[in-house]
Amino acid sequence: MHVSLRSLSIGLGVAIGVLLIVLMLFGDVPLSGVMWLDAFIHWNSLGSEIVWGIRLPRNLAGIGVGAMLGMSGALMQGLLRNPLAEPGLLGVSAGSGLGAALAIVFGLGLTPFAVESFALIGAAVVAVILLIFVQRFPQRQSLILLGVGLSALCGALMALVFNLSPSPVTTAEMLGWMMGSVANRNWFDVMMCVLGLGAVSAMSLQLGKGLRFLTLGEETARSMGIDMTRLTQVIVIGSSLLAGLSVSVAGVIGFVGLAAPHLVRAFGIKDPYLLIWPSALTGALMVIVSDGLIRLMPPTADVRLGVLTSLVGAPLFAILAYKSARSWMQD
Amino acid sequence: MDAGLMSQLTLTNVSVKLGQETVVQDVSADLTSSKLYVLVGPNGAGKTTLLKAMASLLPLKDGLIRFNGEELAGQTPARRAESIAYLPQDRSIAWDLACVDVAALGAQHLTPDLARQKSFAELQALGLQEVSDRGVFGLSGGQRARVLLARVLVSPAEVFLLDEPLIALDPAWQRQVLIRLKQRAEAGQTVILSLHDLHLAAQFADQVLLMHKGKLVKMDTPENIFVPELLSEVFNLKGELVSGDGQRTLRLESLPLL
Repeated sequence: MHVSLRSLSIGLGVAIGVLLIVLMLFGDVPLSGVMWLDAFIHWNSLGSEIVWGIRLPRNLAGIGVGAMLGMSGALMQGLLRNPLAEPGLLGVSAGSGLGAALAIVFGLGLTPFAVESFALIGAAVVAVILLIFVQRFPQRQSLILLGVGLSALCGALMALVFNLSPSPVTTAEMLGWMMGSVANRNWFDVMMCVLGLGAVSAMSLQLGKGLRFLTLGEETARSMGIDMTRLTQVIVIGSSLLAGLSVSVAGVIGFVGLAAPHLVRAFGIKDPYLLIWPSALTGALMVIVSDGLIRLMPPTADVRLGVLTSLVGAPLFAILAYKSARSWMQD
Repeated sequence: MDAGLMSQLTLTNVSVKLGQETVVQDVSADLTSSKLYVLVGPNGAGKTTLLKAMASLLPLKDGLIRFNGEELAGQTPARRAESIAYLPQDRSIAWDLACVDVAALGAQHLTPDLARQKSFAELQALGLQEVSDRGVFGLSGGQRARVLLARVLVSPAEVFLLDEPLIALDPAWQRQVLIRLKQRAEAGQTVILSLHDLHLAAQFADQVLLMHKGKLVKMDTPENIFVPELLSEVFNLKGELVSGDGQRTLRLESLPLL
């Protein structure tokens, strides 16, 4: 199917807008007409608190987190020239998760911004290790190997933290975080998403030539004037910032970063630079659709967002892997 | 062409090391515009490494490479790319872009519309007008090789470095591509390519660079390169070049393996 970039972006934007309005209408507490009226007239009313303090930030955080994951996935796939790359591949998400787990185990779970900050610090530590490494070995194979190693190390350390967890309550709290959610998010979380998306969008504007030339391989890109070390650094910074922020805001939400760019490609947009922004919109749509589905389930089910996206995403990943394997057979 | 407008790629005592091994040793050559240069030599002679060094993709162990008197190592990658275009042996394309869009990657100096026009014309010259809007994943190996060649040929560079550009092409297209490259050389560009087919090298090259074990044995016209002594010493082949009617034909037969 071929759709122009413009039509696709408008379509995705409209879908997100409509879904946002629909999701604003539903929640755990049903709102009467009077409460809705209150929400727009009386700032201190219950209606206002539910609409502007709970529902809107939750939905916007979902949009923001999905957009960050989609954008990060598109950047990673473009850099690594690999349709199976995703934001977690280089270990940033695992570092971020480890940071959050440490904050919880240190008893900072209820301290404002502590878990978020630890998650960001975890992402930053992994990103710095990656950047130092890239300076010396800019080749993507080495970067992937290091990323897989860091991811495994962070995973092992996280298992150790679980292992040594002081109480079942702490373990449950960490597990809850690992499964991802945008429930009870506030305006600070929304602001983090906006800042991250704004900063990385601005950084991405200079990546057009690099990502496109890289389509033909690293050697060709270098011979066409691209400084591969710099390009890799910019993308590692951007992608890590987005992945770290998304874990910090919503915990671990799998497969959105992997799937969003694929869905955009299915609409005929193959250019690795042009698909950055539609991938962000697609990621946003995927997360709020999933969050909406969760809210349709009975509250007792308590299925977490990250679990649902992974349940849908893993089979999709398997199909994509199968398709890739088939195309490699033909080469 | 007026001597003042000639461009010149000068290699002075160039050596390149890959790991612990010196793969290219002490190569010196002056390569001027309006000529088609063909690098020949057995496997492992250092052809690809030398081309990569000329494209500044590998650091030099010794020596220097200058373009129009200016040392390449001192230039920014972007500046180098304006004068030198390189086609690697690697034919991989990561995303299923349309052929014309892949070719247009080489013409970023033009507006998008002009780049597409120029790319389409080049694809047409390479027999790909029918598939120009199709995705590259659906192409045959030979078509893909030509799309990638078109990417180089639409660039504004004065020097084309082509590593085995005829791989995957059928015999008819091998000749067509060489004719096209010869036209570009005649139009004033410097075309340097590596080739395994000595027959085609003998027919089309203005100058042949004969490489063996990392060294440039000789750079000269096909008549002076494809002589029995050099053919047997470098390629372990018995043969000679026969010229007549403006055509050069190489007759070869193999010698027993040493």
